Amino acid sequence: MAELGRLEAAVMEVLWRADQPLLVRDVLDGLTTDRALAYTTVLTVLDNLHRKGWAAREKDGKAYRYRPAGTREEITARTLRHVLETSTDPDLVLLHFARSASKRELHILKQVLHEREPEA
Amino acid sequence: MSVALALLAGAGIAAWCGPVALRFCFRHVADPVAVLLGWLGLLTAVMVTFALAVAALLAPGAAHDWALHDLARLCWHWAQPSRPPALDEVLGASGALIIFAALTKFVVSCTRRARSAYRARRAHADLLTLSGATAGPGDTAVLWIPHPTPLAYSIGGAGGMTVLASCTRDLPADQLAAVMSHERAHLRERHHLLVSAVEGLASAVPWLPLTREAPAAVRLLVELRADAAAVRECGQAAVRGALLSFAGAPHPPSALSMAGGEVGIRLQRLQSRTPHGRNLAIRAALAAAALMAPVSIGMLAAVITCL
Repeated sequence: MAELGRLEAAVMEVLWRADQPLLVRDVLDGLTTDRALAYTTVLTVLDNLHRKGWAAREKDGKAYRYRPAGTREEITARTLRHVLETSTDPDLVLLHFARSASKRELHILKQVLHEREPEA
Repeated sequence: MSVALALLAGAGIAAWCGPVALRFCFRHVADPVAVLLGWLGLLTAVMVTFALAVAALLAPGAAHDWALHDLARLCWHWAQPSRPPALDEVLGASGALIIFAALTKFVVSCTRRARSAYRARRAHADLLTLSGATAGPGDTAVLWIPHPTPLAYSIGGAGGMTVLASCTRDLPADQLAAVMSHERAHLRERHHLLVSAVEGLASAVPWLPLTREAPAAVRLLVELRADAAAVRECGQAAVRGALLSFAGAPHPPSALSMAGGEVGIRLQRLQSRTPHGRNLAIRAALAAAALMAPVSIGMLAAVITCL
């Protein structure tokens, strides 16, 4: 798990550094690891990152171009939310959710609060 | 009274009255390991005794009344197999059914627990990857997560680690050391595994006081054990301070938190003159007593009914 983690971290670094969506080949070229990596290894890692929601991809001809699905802080906040969602304290989960909510989620929250106001 | 019935009675009485006796021991014994051995010993003994009793009830032919021959001499007429054998078989079959149902529920519950613990481990491994740091080897692994609530807990299993919220960096150094030492003790001694096994038992046999009350007791005892380790390494004041700083802090369900167990009792223990004193004689005595309890109670019950 640690080995995979290091590889994922290295690939994410490459994606964060880039100023445009990258092909698998570009990511492979951007990696500076101490051992030579196979194209398919990087492809698998990128596929995993996409499945986890850390990287977004778009079709470019036959291949995919990958870009990060958020800054390091945004993705950390999202992952942390998953961890805390199972926590034993519902108040904390709600607080954390409110703090790390996206614009769309905040908009929904405001709508609900607005609906509730006449009742209160 | 046949051996099987005596064993059944012993297991039943031990399972119903055991928690009361163990709570009494908890109040009067400072060493948490001794009481922990008492709980684990009694759980094991009750399960083994019950299984033996069921096996004896279902054993074919003459085994029905391989009654205690010594007891048989004591009270001759009682030793005769006075009840119809059909009753033994009905009892044995119900016992076997209970064992089968409990085992199934235990396996299902443990699988669910293991899966949730695995998901928690994966999520924390992801957080470690995102932080760009390395956790450190073995039970000294630490993951710092960016969060304004003071969180401190450990997740067990392969790749287990101590998890601390970034805001806890502001705590006094000795308190932080106490927290790390406390969580390291949990990881080193595999407390997560112990707690989840006992919780699995509780969900398998929730109607039995012994298994029902075991998880809360074991959780508190492993916390006291980890407190003892932290006191040895960092001193009483540091552990006390850390406990107060983290009281009420939340944690994922499969984790052991710094503020786990009943913090009030833990603070009270820290104030006593010899907190968590190590006492090998009491450990041996409690473990032996717990292991012997069901059989001894059963034999006693047999003798009393014979007299």
